[in-house]
Amino acid sequence: MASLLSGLEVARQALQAQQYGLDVTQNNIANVNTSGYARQRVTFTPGEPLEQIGYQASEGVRVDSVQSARSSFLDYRVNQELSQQSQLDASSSALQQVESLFNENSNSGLQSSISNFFNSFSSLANTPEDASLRQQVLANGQAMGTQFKQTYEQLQSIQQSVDGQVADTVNQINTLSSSIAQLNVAVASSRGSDSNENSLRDQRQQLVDQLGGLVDISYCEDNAGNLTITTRQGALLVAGNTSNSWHTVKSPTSGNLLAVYSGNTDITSTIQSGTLGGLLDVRDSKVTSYLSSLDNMAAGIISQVNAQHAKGADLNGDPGGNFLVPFVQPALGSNEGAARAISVAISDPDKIAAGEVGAGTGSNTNAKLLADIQNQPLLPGDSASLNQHYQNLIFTIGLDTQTAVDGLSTQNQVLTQLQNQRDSVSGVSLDDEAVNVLRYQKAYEANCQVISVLDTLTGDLMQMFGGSG
Amino acid sequence: MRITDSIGYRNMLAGVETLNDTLEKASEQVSSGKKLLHLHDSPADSAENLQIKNQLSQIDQYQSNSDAASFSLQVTDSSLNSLYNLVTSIYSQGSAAANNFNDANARATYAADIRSQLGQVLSLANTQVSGRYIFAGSKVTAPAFTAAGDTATYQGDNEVNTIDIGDGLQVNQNVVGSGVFSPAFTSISALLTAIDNGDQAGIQTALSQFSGTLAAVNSARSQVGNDLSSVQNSATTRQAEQTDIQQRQSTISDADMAVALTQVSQTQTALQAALTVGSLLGKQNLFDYLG
Repeated sequence: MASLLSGLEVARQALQAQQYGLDVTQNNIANVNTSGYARQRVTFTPGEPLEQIGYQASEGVRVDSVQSARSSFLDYRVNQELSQQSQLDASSSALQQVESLFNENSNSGLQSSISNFFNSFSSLANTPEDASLRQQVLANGQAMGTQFKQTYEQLQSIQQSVDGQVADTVNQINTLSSSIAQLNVAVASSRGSDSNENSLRDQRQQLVDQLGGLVDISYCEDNAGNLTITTRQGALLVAGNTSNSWHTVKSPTSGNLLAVYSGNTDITSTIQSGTLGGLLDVRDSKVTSYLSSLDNMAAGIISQVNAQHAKGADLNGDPGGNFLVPFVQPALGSNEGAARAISVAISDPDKIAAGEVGAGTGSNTNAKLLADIQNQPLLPGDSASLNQHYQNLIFTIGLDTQTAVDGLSTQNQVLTQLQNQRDSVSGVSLDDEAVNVLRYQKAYEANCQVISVLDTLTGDLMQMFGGSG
Repeated sequence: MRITDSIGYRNMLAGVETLNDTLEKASEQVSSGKKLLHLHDSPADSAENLQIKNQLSQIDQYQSNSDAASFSLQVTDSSLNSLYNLVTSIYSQGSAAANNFNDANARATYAADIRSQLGQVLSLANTQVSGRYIFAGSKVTAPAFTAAGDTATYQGDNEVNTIDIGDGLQVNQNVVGSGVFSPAFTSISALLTAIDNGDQAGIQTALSQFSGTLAAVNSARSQVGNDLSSVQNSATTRQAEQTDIQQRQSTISDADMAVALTQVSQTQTALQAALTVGSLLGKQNLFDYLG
């Protein structure tokens, strides 16, 4: 101690430092429930040493810095798992809507209407000339067509609503990207200065987490403190102070669904994860394949029924015409549109070709063969029957949904673990803070004590030299 | 690991969510009695369940086909029985006429009797079931035979409809009338002509044709009898099959109530415990002990 009065100065600085420590602790406690907040720590450093003859002492304490407890590795891992979790969340919720359309575990559905249609041919075979049975065949054929159309359109409307969510998600991504770019500027300019860099970083990391939930991203920070963010496949989102806004365009080649563009590049197929990845997978891969299964089944029914129908004779003894409205493939090998088009072509029940050509009206040969179509191979080059095709579709939808639902529940656990690990580093513990309060309080008290002692000493000194005080 | 307050809350939330999920599933099972409520509960079982639905609807269809076939076969059978009896009775009358050959009045009486029975044969030949002439082959909308004097001409065709009553199992729905009735008409008309003409040798010749007629009727009867018993046997097989399939359906789709109820109560207990522990979270920390 150079002098009693300089000792007072040391004590004053120490009081300030401990007070600062209390402030930071108080801030931590205040943010115990703030998501994205990383606890902060004050580091103190001893003041410059004062050289004296014979001894050396520091001139008190200085606040060196306030640091956030963050592990960038854990931040990055959490971000990746968030992408995965949001992807599964988006796809499981859309797929559960799909599976409820096909809930054949109840007593209605496409299967029943298909069985009813073909079984009505079998009933007709018992009394082929019966007008009411013929009427029943027509009615059941129409009901099956309606059911196909309805199922297809409901599936399409789920696809449309997922498409709407794609647009919303891209908008959210743009908003987040632009906010992050602004925070990049703020973080870079606050660096090294005595400002709120930590809380800006907390905010930015929170937005990066949200962005990671929407789309699979990878990011890194440069020396200036700027985050550069791209998708994992390299589509740019944020670089320094600018964000690259994405947009959506209706794609006429894929049923007017939205394609995602970065600049002039269609990046739809490169997005793999996050909410957007989940939505695109359901929309473009899952639902599209279900729709085409329905189309294939419908096209198979139309062609098989018409082919068999033509081999029989109707009630007037004429050869059978088309029972179902024939389907023309829009392109070679494509049955798109068949499920919406399938409908009965005849309205006169007498035109049903139930009998054998040349036989009387009581002949049932063709009606039986028509009924048996449901058990015969449906599509060229494929041994699966109509019923097997539909069972496969049901199995696929069930499995896709199960994969998403079970995957989500596993992913939630993984994410919980990782978030716990991150909180273990960055989170606020009230016990820790209680100890800190105690620590700074005690140090503050001790410094007050020092001031009080110095006060006494200077008082004594003054008295000694004849002061009146 | 450093435990922070948020970790405790997050873990509690995750635990409670999992338990709530389990509880909801178990309660859903209890209230619906089904364990296969969504396709994703078990994709394989859902696909099998669909196949079962299919099989059951197929069995129902076979059942209704069997009922229809059985009705038509029974009517056919009883018609053929009556035909047999009539032909036998006509044969007796014919024999009696041969024995009383010299009595012209008696011959006329026999002839009148036989003609009246011939009318019954014709009416049998044109038997209808629900408006369809069952002995007319596929030409079911018009009478199988039209009479002209003592004889009758077949108007139908030779079509025999088969009915599916099981997988790969079929029975004939009808007997072609020309096979059984035409020989009868031929021999009866020959008999009547001989009686009318007082032709004793002719009567004997006509009577000798009757055994062939009866044989044709008998052969048709035994075919119908076979088909009827096929129908009956198939009903037994079908019922057994239906029971098996329904049992399988129940195994894959019905909830085990005891298990589901136990799970509900177990999960409720666990949930209660988790909530109790949760309510202690954050209740105590070091601040409570600092003056």
